[in-house]
Amino acid sequence: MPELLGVKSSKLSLMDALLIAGAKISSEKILSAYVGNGSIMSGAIKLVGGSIMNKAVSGKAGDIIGTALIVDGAEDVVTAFFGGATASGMIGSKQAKVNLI
Amino acid sequence: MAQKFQRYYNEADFGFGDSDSDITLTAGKWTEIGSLQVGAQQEVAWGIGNTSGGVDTRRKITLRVDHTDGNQIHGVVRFAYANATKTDIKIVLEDRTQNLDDGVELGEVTELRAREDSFLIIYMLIDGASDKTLDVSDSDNTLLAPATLYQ
Repeated sequence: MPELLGVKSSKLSLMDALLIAGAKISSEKILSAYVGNGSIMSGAIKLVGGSIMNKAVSGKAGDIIGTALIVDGAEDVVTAFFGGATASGMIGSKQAKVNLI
Repeated sequence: MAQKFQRYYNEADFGFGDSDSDITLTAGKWTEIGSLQVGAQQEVAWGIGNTSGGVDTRRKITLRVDHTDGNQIHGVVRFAYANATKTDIKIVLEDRTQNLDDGVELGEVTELRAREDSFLIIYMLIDGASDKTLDVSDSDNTLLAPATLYQ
């Protein structure tokens, strides 16, 4: 357990990682209704937004929120390219499979 | 890729016509009150619109049915899909007549559609312990059912 608490990756501590993950999950849910999720468009918006937030909010909070948005944005871009590289997948959300009765 | 358009069905589409027979609604039992068979080369989904992108484009579904004595029949209504033989039924919305009077938002059911020869179907479970007779030709009967048709 003490080994787990002391986990670090370069300058990123476990607590920082948990805060970033929490911020990412929250922001993803909130932003999904406005910019979508998993598309190039949503990824680009989040990447730019993350950079702006990092500069606009000072201190650790800015680092956490900015990193969360940038990670989320990067995830969306990678998902759009590798998680179904169709035209609709790149510029919008993917549609769920339709069953027929 | 199928092309879709949105449409509204009314009571006549579901069999509430002047020449159709009145329907006996048995207390304590779900009774089919109307059905619409999907035509050739089509697929139909209950509902219109969605709430994605922060914009609500859903349309309302409205239902009112009257007894032969002229009063509205109250109870629970189920809107469902059924296969061609009505042996497989999937419910998409269950709500009370008091809510359906004013209309209830019904977004397009995107994960399930009825194919050719399958049905959009409506069931009702009336309130109370006495049977009622649904007067299909009553002019107060209203059904405004949004649907998305794929062709």
